[in-house]
Amino acid sequence: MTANEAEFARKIKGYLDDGSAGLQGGTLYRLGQARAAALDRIAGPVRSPAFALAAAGGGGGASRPFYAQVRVWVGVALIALAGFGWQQYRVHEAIEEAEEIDSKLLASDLPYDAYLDRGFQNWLKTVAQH
Amino acid sequence: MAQDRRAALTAALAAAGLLALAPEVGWAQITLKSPKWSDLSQQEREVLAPLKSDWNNLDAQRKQKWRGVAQRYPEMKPDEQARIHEQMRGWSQLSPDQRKQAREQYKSMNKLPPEQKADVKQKWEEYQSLPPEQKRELASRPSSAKIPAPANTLPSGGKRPASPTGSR
Repeated sequence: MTANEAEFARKIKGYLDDGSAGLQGGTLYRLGQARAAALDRIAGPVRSPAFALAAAGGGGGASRPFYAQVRVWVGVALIALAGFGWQQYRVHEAIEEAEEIDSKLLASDLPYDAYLDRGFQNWLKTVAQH
Repeated sequence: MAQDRRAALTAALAAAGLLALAPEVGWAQITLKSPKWSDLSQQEREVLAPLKSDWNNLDAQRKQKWRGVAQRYPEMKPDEQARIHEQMRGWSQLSPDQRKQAREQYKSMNKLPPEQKADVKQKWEEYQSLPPEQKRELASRPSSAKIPAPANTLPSGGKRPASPTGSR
């Protein structure tokens, strides 16, 4: 804190003291409570964002077991959803590939028997060697 | 708390892993429709007519595939449409392994240059005219992994069949 800032703070404190001197007792009590609550919050443990994510869910979740915390289950659901989406994508991809190959294979001028006939494949091999 | 985070991560990964295994346990079809024959459009019913009697026995994935084939059908040439129509029923009655094998052979043959592909068709016609004993002998040999590119030379005798016999 620089000298100017200290001077500025001192002046503010003076104005606040002057102003609060005229307040009623009940108001002073409530202000005192608010100050104490603010100080307690500042003095509390500082959580990292990752910790806060895991412990949150309904507030004050630090003492709860992990399975009782909403955000954990939201995370599990998101991962599961992503896995399910990926799996569905693979299924559709496989169907599309089969659809394309089968269309071409069945429309080709070589009957599908030719692709299954081991004798024909061996015969082609024999012919190719001559 | 580090333990809790590890446990949460394990639970999440387990859930994701279960879903990754979904095709193995048959969950893949949960979201796929399995339409009845009557649910198909008029155009689909006409194209897929050879499959009508087997339609209810097909699983959702195969139904989906055949509907896709039906969508491609109008874009095909008339001779391709005729071939696909003719072969549809027989193809759907093959075992999954046979279909897989045929697809693999088709893919490997599809890599051949166009002139060699045309030659394979001609070789198939020549093969049809071989004596049954020779075909049996050829079929009894261990299979080659892929269809080789055919040579332009003809097998012993060098005679070509007077007319193609076709497969069916």
